[in-house]
Amino acid sequence: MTAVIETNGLGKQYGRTWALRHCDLTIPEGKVVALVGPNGAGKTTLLHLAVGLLAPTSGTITVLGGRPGGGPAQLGRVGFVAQDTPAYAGLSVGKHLRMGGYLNAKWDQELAESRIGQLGLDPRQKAGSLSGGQRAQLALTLAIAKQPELLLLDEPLASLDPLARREFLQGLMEIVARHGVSVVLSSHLIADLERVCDYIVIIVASQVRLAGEVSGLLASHHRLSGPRRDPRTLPASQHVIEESHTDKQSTLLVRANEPILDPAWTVKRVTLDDLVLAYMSQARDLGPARRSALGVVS
Amino acid sequence: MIRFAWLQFRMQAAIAAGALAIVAVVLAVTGPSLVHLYDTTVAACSSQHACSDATTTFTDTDGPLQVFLDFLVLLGPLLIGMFWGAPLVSREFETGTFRLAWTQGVSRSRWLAVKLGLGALASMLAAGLLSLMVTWWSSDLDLVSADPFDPLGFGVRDLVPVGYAAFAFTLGAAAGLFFRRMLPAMLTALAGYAAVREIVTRWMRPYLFSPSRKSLPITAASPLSFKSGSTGITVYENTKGVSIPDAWIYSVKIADNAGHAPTASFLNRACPLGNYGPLNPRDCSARLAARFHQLVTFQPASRYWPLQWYELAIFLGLAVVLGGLCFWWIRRPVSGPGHLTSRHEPRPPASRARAVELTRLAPAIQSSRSGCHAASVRETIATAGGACRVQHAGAGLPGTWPAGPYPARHQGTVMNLFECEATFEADPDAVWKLWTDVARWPEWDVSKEIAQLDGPFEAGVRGWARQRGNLGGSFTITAVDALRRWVSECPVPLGKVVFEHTLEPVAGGRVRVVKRAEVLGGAAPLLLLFAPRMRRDTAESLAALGRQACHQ
Repeated sequence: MTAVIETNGLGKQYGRTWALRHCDLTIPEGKVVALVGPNGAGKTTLLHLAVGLLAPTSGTITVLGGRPGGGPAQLGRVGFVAQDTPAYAGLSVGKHLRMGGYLNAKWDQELAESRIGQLGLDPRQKAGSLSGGQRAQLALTLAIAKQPELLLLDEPLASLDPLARREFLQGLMEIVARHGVSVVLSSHLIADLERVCDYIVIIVASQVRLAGEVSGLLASHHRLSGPRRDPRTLPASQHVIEESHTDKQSTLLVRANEPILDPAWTVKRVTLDDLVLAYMSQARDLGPARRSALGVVS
Repeated sequence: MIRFAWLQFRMQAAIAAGALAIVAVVLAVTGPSLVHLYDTTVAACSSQHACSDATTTFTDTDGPLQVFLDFLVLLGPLLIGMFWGAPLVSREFETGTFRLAWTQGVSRSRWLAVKLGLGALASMLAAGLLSLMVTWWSSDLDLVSADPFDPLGFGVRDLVPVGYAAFAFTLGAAAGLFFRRMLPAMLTALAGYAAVREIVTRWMRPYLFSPSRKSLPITAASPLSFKSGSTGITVYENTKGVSIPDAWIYSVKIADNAGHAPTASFLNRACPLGNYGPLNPRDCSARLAARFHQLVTFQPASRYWPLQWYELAIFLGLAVVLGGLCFWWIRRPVSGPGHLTSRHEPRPPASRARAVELTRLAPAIQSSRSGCHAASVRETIATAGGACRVQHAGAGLPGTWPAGPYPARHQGTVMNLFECEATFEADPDAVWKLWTDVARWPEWDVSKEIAQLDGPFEAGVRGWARQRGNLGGSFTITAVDALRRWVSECPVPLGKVVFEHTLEPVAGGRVRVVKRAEVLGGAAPLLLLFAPRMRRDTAESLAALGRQACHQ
């Protein structure tokens, strides 16, 4: 399987703070990838690095086998929808499409126009007067009509109401189905992503916590409940991600590649929501100690 | 790209074209009557007295319009700098649209080149047309006033406004790119344009050509003025009264053949003063003329066009320099609006200072990193499926460094530039072989284009390497500890850069390679500026070294 994004020890520093560091990540081709994490975790930084708006402070990043932003050809292969979907307020929708045509070698004007038509947007309307949802759709249209191999979307859902959110994701899924494009989508809204993503990357506090196929991760994680027990007594193949205890009972979220055979446990499947929250809170618990250790370095 | 730049620019262009059209109409309406007035008054006068009256009548015509036009040409470039130049890039930052523009299929430098080029050409065209119209309208007035070198007048006629406009535009654009905010950029354009115009007018223009000197006799018409002070009487002459047509008079001195000014005692005798100057002006000037003459320092009228061209070239040159800065700055890291206010380190240009190869890292990273990807590494390796993945290539921050390859021998500044490392699965012998095969460096080192070594790989042998997009630089191998470590150094101004390369097998059949760089001598702070780029290149190169060694 070839990788659409591959990073090695990737780091990005603003002043004295690391927005992203020690990021080793391989995102395979043909997936819809959710990039999940709390605000300020480094999602935007990673996407900006991938599209070439930022250059890494350390490490390397390869996108579709090339250096991000390495030239017009590379830029043309990656479609990007930036956070808050910026558009030129003074230019009309139609002129935005003309801009796309002027600036991209593989521009598909027909596709762009038909999408704008389907969305019911007036090409003469100024982008400044569009609603958030319409602007997001315009940005997605611009990104898709350049016929990219990889589509990067930075928090495209954040400013949309639930209906617009659903329409946006529907549009996205149609594109994926029709054009077979790989997608990386950052968000902190897990519920919306569950339906569309088949691969997940969790970033917390500027570091990658977890990356893998959603189905595989769901299969290898289990919610165990049973009589109170010290998690350290579990078999070595079971890693505790999250634990909670009452006087009599323990509830654990564990990762284990083999089936859980201990009859003392009641085993339940986990949802993506559970998984993400468990890894995020694990990171938060570990956070302060690790941060001070890193502080020595910077 | 040019069509898109035009799409964005055409509203501003339309406003400018509208303004120029209004000026053109006003000038076309008033111009012919001014010419007619000139022909019937100044050109037709017969006596000196009549001519003086005619001149006054003529020059007083449309007085407010004359002043307005001069100010229009004076301020035109300023408006261009503030309203075309300053928003050019800063508005993209303020509205976040740079993230849209710079992720289309056009490289950032091309985007800038077209926007800057189109804007600069439009600025020059607008200023040129305005200057042309005003110069034409004022031609008869200028003929009468006969002062083409007037500090204000010189700058609002003929060629120079074109240079001013190009300069103001690029100044605004560069400031916008630097501050990433429109208001500071506009203020910089305002202050910078005013300051540079003033400096050039006052301190450069008079010295561009060395002035001519000429002796003229003193006549009764020479406007002498006398001053009676504690040291006696002294005499001055007003530069306005010197009769060299259309010249720029720097100074006039009253001097004898030996170059001496009249003494106070001579003046006392020759020009006794009353309450309103010499008691007998006619005698006074006759007596002065007998022994003294006027020594005039001036630029002749023939220097007008050379000066115009020269000043045009100065401002166009400044515009080119500012344009170059824009290309440098546009490569700086950018980020979302949340980070816009933070100051990022400028990225060095792809040239210069890299006549040295540089790299290095921080040991602490290794230890602090151990726990950081427990989950991610495992998962990603599983999906990538390769056996010889580079696991990490990291880089640290420059900082001072107590123990380096040579700290004891050099008492000067020793500064750690950086340290980079990579750990990968490979045969240590193979890595060593590859790493020390100088001629093959370009195969994996992203910053090297050509490299060669003048002998076997051992201490004391010199080599030469060309950096990507740069000139070549020489280096010397200073220590080789076979299969473990080697050190090289490159001369830089005021010192040298020492690179230490170490290789060590680690658990699991893997190899850790470390490259660290230190600067010895005074060039350290300068090189720190280039450290981020070097770190990046080195991290990338070491990772590539691992891949290459793995495929051996």
